[in-house]
Amino acid sequence: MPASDRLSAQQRVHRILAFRDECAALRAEGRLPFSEPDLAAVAVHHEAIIADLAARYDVDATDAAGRLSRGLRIVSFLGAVALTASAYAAVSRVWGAMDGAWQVLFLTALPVTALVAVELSARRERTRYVAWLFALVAFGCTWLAIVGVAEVLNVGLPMPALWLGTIASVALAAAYGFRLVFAGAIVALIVSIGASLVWATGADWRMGWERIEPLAMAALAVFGMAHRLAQAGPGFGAVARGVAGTIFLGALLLLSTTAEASHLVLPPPVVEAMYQAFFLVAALATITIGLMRRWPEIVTPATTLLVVFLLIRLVDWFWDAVPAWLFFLLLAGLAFASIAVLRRMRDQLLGGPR
Amino acid sequence: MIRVVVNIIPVLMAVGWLVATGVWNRTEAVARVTLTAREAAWRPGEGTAPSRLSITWEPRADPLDARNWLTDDRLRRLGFDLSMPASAPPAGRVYGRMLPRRAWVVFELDGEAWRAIERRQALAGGDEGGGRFASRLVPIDAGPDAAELAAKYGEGRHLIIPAWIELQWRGPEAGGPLVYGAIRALDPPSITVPPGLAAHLRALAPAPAAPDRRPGVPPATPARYEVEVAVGRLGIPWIVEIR
Repeated sequence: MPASDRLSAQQRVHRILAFRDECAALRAEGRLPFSEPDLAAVAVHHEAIIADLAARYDVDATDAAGRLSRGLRIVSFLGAVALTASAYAAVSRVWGAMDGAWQVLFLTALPVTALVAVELSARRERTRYVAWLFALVAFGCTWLAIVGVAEVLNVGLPMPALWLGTIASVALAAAYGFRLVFAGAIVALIVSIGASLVWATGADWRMGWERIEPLAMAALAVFGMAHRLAQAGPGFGAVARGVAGTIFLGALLLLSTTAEASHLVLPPPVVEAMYQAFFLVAALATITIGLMRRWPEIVTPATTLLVVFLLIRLVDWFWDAVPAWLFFLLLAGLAFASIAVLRRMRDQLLGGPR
Repeated sequence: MIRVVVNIIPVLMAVGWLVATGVWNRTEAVARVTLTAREAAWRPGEGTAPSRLSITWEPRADPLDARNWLTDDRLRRLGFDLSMPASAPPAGRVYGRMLPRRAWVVFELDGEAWRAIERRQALAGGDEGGGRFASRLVPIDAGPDAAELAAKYGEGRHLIIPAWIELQWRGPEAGGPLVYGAIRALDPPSITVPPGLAAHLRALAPAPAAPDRRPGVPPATPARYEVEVAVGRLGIPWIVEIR
């Protein structure tokens, strides 16, 4: 199947490189099932594919190139952070010296300039590292402009402005296929949906965050929409699942620890116990679904949050009740039990013990 | 090119919405009052960052005094459900879990309510001179409708501004059981000072009030400036003049 975007093109190159490595290993073991002329023909075909993909999507054709690309991404990210910080510092520096109208114009010009820079960079370079850098700056400056203008005019942050900022973020990510920008846009989308849920109850959304159930519900809704969001760009489904799943389980973890964060008016121990049970079920279900559907983007954060949850529970239940040596022995026992359970789940998913 | 335009449009719409909100708010002022440094604490921005003014008020923290101005009827009109008796076992939890509600609050400046508080403080002997610097802005009424409050209270001595009202509960061990309302914060909690007026303010008040000044806590310095504050039809305040 021909690659339609850079992500799938890079995956194809990885498969080709893995095929070559395996053939070399089989040859060394004397078990190569193909004739050398056949392999040579496939190699020629693969070279043509790699050359084509490199020309069209600038994929990394070797492991060394891949490592260099990762370095480039880190440098681009740091550059974006530095450029956004520079824009923020510039705003702070000249803000007080400008009239209110100029403040609004200045703040608006920042994301607009960054968006134009994204487009010009994307046209000029295939690797799009500079475009990616400017996209992160545009994302940061968009929210800087919205919050800054709201502050200048003392208008707070009205929900329509919040939604428009979210739409701008999603549009930016979808237009260029930048997954990190999309992750930020998903956070904004979850906040916007949560704010709308609070608003629907008759309360002001800015006070709604004292109880975080709306945020958890919004994250769950976005998690459910991930397959639709996947159509917006390559790899976007995984990003949406990862961000929304992490926020959902993180909110449940917080609710299981402190009833103060909950809307429920039941006694705090009851609320916390309910959410502890809910978190345990949700985390295990997430890990199981993630393993079954091969979604590492939710398995890793769910496992991490589950470990944090178990640590908090153990400290809460046993730290004062048992000696320190027994407490840490319990921790070690829990680690062994977790390994056994996860290995069993893995074996069942792979079709039997290995 | 289309891609850039599609990306810029929502950004411009968001900023446009905020500007339109600000402009629409200022087409009608529901309240206009002149405050002094006792009621408007100045927070200078660092370097050339924006200056802000925080409106301070007499909190009327005593539960019985709070129930005088924020009666059960008024709290119900703001949307609070007070159907559970304050003596019921879960009352503390139920009232403590209720989210604050946004309401229009009428503050009276240096009026009868403030003089009553001064008299009480003098009788109690608790005032050791701090009253000379304390805010004379006293909450006297609250409701969901700004126009109704504006018709009831004239301009000049009354500031009508949105605030967050929350319920508080006191158990039997603290003089209760009792449920009463209190102002948690104004909305917005502080007002941006326009750059032109900020320079004027710096000249008038070289020694600003303490940045952590709370309601009812007197500033370290006496009043040096007057601030005319207006509140628009959407409840958004702005500074008209500083002198």
